Parts: sequence; C-alpha cells; structure tokens
Amino acid sequence: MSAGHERRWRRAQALTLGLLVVWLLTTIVVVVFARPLSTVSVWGWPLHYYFASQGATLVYLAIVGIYAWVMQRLEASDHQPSEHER
Amino acid sequence: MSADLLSRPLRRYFWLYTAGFCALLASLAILEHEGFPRFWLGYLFLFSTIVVYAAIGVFSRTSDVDEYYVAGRRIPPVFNGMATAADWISTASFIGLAGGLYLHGFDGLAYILGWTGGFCLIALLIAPYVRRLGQYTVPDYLAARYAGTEGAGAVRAIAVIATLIISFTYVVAQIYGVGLITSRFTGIDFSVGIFLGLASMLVCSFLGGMRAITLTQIAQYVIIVIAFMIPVSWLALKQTGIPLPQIAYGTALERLAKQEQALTEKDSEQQVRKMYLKRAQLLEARIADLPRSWDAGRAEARKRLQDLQTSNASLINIKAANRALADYPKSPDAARRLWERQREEALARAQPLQPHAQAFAGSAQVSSDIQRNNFLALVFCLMLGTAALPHVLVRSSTTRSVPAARSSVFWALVFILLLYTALPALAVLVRYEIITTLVGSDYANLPSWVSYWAGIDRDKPMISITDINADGLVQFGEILIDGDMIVLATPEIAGLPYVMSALIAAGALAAALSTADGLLLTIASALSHDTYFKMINPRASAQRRVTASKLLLLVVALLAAYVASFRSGDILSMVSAAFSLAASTLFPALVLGIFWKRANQQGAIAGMLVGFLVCAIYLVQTSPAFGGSAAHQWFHIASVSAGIFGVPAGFTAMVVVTLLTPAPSERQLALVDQLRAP
Repeated sequence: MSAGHERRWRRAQALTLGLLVVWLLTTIVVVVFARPLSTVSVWGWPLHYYFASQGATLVYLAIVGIYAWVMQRLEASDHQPSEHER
Repeated sequence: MSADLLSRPLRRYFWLYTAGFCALLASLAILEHEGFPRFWLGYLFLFSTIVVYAAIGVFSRTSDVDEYYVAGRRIPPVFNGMATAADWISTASFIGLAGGLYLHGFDGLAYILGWTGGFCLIALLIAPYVRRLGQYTVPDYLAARYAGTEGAGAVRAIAVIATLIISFTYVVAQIYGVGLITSRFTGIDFSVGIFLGLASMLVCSFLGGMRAITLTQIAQYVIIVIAFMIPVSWLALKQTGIPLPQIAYGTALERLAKQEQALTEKDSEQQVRKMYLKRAQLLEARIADLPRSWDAGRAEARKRLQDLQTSNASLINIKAANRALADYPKSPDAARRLWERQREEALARAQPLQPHAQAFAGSAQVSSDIQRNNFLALVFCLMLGTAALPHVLVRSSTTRSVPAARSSVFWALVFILLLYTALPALAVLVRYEIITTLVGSDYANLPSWVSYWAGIDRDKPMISITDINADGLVQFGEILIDGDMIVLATPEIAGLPYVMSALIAAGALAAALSTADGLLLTIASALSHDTYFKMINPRASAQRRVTASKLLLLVVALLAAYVASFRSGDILSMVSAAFSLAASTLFPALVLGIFWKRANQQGAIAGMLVGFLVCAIYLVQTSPAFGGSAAHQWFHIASVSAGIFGVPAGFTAMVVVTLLTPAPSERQLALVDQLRAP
C-alpha cells in the first residue's frame, strides 16, 4: 500500500467509525429514553413516537448520505483515477 | 439491446411508464364510476400489472453471464436504489409491518428502526467493498477474501448453505403472500394464485436474469409507492385535512390517544373484558379437572344433540349441535391444547386496551424493562440481518463503480423511507377510523367489508366480531382483527372507491413479486455459479452456466411454491428467524474480512459455523414454532432475536480461531489492500 493509500484508508476508517458511533447512539438513545420522552409532546407528537418512527430513520439517511458524499470528496481530492472500476 | 438502454433512455422509459400507470389508474376509476363490475376491475388491474412484468422480462432477455448475474454492472445509482428498495420491500414490509403497528403500536416500530438502520451498516461496512471486489455473489465474495492454499471450498460451501436457508424461507413467505393477494382479490384458488404469480416472475427472471429483474423492480417500485401513498394520503386528508400522511398523523395520534382513554374508562368495554376474564377462568378450571371435564363435555354435547333431535328442533340448530360434537377434541390431550390456547386468547382479550403510543407496556417496571430489552435486541438483530442478506448485498454489484454503489445505498434508503415513514401513519389513521366508526355501531348494520373479510377463510377468519355482552353494539374489545388484513382492507375501512382496493392489492403483489424475483435469482446464482461452476465443474462454458442457472431457478421456484402451498402459519416467524440467522452466520465474516487484515480462512469457517449453530440452537430451544418453549430463554430475550447471541458468538469464534492459526498469505493481504484502495 502506498503512503497515499494508507492515509486515505485511515481517513475512511475514522469516518466510518465516527458515523457508526452516531448510528449506535441514535439507536440506543431512541430506545432507552422512549419511556421518559413519552410525556413530552410537540405539535401533537409524543416525542418518543416521533423519534422512533421518523427521527431516527432520518438520522440513518443522513449517515448514509454523509458517508457517500465525504468518501467521494476524499477520493477525488487524491487525484488518483480508480483502476478497479469496470 | 445496446448498452444505452440503462442510461439516458431509461429515464425516458421510466417517466413514460409512470404516466402510463397513472393513466391506467384513472381510466379504471372512470370505469368504476360508470358502473363497471368490481369483480372485473380487480382482475383487470392485477393482470395488467402481471403482464407488464412479464413483458419487461421478454424484452430484456439475455444469456450473457455479466448481464444475467449483475445486469452488466451499469445501472445508474438512482435507479439501482429504486430497484434495491423494491427488492427490499417485501410482503412483510407492505402488509405485515403496518398490521403489526396497528396491533402493537409503539413496540412495532422496532421493525421500522431495524429495517432502515441496517442500511447504515450496508453503506458503511459492506456494499462498497463487495462492489470493489466485483464478484457475482456473496459466497463468491467470501471465498475470494478467505481463499487458503487449497482454495476456499469450505468457506464457499458454508456461505452457500447459509444463503440457501435464508433466501429460501424468505422466498416461501413471498410466494405465500402472492397466493394470499391473488386469491383474495380475484376469487381464484390459493394454489392457482401462487402459480399465476409465479409464472410472471419466472418469465421475467428466467429470460432476463438480473437485468430483467432490475428493470421489473423499478417498475414495481413505482406501483408499490403509488399504491400505498394514494389511499393513505386520502385517509389522512379525510381525517386531518392534510394530505401528507407523514406530517398529518401527529394530530391524529393525539386524537387517537383521547379516544383510547375514553374507551378504557367506558363501562361496556370493561364489561366485555370482565367476561373474557371469566371465560379464561372457566377454561382454567376445565383444564385443571382434565380427563373428567373432557368426558363431561363430550357427554353434554351428545345429550344436547339428542335433545334437539327428539324435540324436533330446527335443522340449523341440529346441524350446529352436530358440528359442535364433531369438532369436540378427540382426546383429553387435544382438549388440553385447545383449551389452553383458548384460555390464552381470552386472557389476552381481557387485558385493558394498550394506548397506541405507549412504549414497552408492562404491569411492572421489570416486565416493562424486559419489553425494552427485547425491543433493542430485535432492532439490532434486524439491522445486522439486513446488512447480511445476500439478495440485498448483490444489488451493490449491479452499479457502475464504488462511488455509485455508495450513492445507490443512499437512494435505496430514500425510496424505502418514502414508504416506511407512511406505514405508522396508516396504522394510526386506520386505528382511529375503526375506533370512531366501527366501535359503537349496531350489530344489525355492520359495514359490508367486515362480513367480506370474515368470510374469506372460515376456519381462520381475518376479522371476527362477537357480541359477547349481548348489547347489540360493537365494543372495541369484541373485535379480533388479523394484522395482515389492515393494509389490504384500508380502502374499504375508509370508504374509498373499489379501484383503491385493487390498487393496493396490485401494490402488495408488486412488493411480493419484486422481492421473490431477487431472492430466486440469488438462490439460483448460489447454486449455479458457486456450487456448479466453482465447485463441481470449473470448465463449464458461460453459456452452460447461464442455462444451469435458468433451470435451477425453475426448480427452486416450483419447490418454494410447493412449500408455500402448505400455508403454514409459522412463515412469518420463520422470516424473522432468517434475519437472525443471516446476521449470526454472515455478518462477522463479511465485516472482519475488510477491517481486520489478520482474519483468515480458518477463523471465517469457525465464525460462520459457531454463529450459525448458536443462533439455530437458541431458536430451536425457545421458539414454539420449532418445538421449543419460552422457559429456555436467556435474559428473557425472545427467540426472534436469537442473533443477539449468535453474532457475538460468531465474532468471538472468528477472532479466537484466527489468532490461533497462521496469518493469511501475502496474496490474501494484497487482496485486502485492493479492497481498501479507492
């Protein structure tokens, strides 16, 4: 592995790890705090129900979107045309 | 067909097709308005969609290996995402999920979280790497990563077996759904329905492989979304005045909570619950008194029949008594089983109404905590399982490049969320509709959909309403509804035109067919590419491999249809189990193969075997469907979430065995570097 590859892989790993932490925390917080949050309601929504039915899934979507976007920029910034694309 | 088919013109075809479908919908709506018979409307709708799927198969037929297995690797990300979404949205999502949410409220949201969160893992940990290596199947990918000095026969074989078990249970459930939908909406026989659906599926995947399947799935996604969103938006508009269900159901939820509160306090509802409790106690006494109570019950049934016959009672009464005697349990053991089931049903119905939005209902803190832990365990099992399902992973191989694979997952999640955010809305709106219109209505004028859905299967009615307290009015506690009918019956419950019912049926059919298509091809590829070509006859020509795959597809489809025709009720629990099995067997090997260079073949074999075994043993021990009992549970975790033990076991076994055995060869290390390179 060249130095450039090594550096990029480390960045990719850091990004992956960071996003995985967000993913894990989102899931756990939504479930563990469901009972305390159920007394709070915003515009008719019981907050725990909103987070579990829409909020968390939107966070997941953001995670996937950020990953695709940042990785693309990471790869583009290195100016190395990919050889493995078919 | 030229290479251009899948780029620019695809967009044009897509919009033409969508417009065409809307035109069909509009013309059928006009036909209904003009008094066209409903029966024919249903036929016309379902069969025109099936013909479209088959036609796509005929027009995109191919026998090229790359085209057949991975659609030539040139599907644009947005369309690949759409196809993945259709692949993903199965009968369980379309029909089962909203039904589960209707019945269990908040606790059903575990499926929404699990089935969307899993895509994070696919995007971050698996899809780009599977695409980079450029294999045809998941076993192929694992075999390439874990090749030893003598090849990777064992890794491949285990992965093939896991793929077959997971995909086959899944495909049986889809075909079962196909039979259910076609028989319900056209009146044809269940097994005929299965084969009709199968025929269109086979024409498509048989002729065109992955290329035809991808195009069909795009077409099916359009139908799925239109079929779901129009009735739900209509319902949302009717109830809240806002046609966007995702936003509208916040207010509906608030009103639902008020209605539920009122129902809990209502005298007649409490009376109904008390009567069910009494019935449960009565059954309890009969069970405790067993062989004697069985004799007494039989004698009583006989005497009743005799009395009726001697007193010249009406034929209907005599018939009913005769039937009661014929249905009477044949032995004390059978009586125990029947009465225990009835007692449990009665006890469940004696429970006070659980508010829809309540999280982890439980009488005490402890039982509520158990509910919460099970919820969390299920969410993680579904997530890890999603990330290890072979038929979803193979979809990342159909994209043009690694960045395209990444953005394809993003689009897939966008398209899935479009439906998934509307599912809880449907559950809330339908529940509100039932509480406000059906509850409290007169038994003499029940809406016609009740008798229709009750009459479809007399032995196991989808809905039953019994006036247990004999006051002539429907109480909420008197309604017993099968979750599977909720989505299909939504248009009728909400009083929408019949064309909406046909539309939603076509959507459900599209959901089942699109998933079944992808699964069948996954199974056929695992058998033809991984088993036949890589393990049995490595010199087989490309032509021969594709032909073998087509034949196997046919055999697997017929086998699945045969199994589905048994109509075993445990199919849904088996599908949930498939997620745990996929997670425990494949997830550790897939992930460690990329992020841990040291991972070697022996470790992978051990990890897959141990993960599979731990998960399977826990399932067999704890799931009633496999003859186990809940008494054997660890930490009160339900059998559905067996993966919560299988996955750590698989990871541990893989790490330990890897460290005890030699490091992978230079060639393997180079391959991992290649995986990690851009």
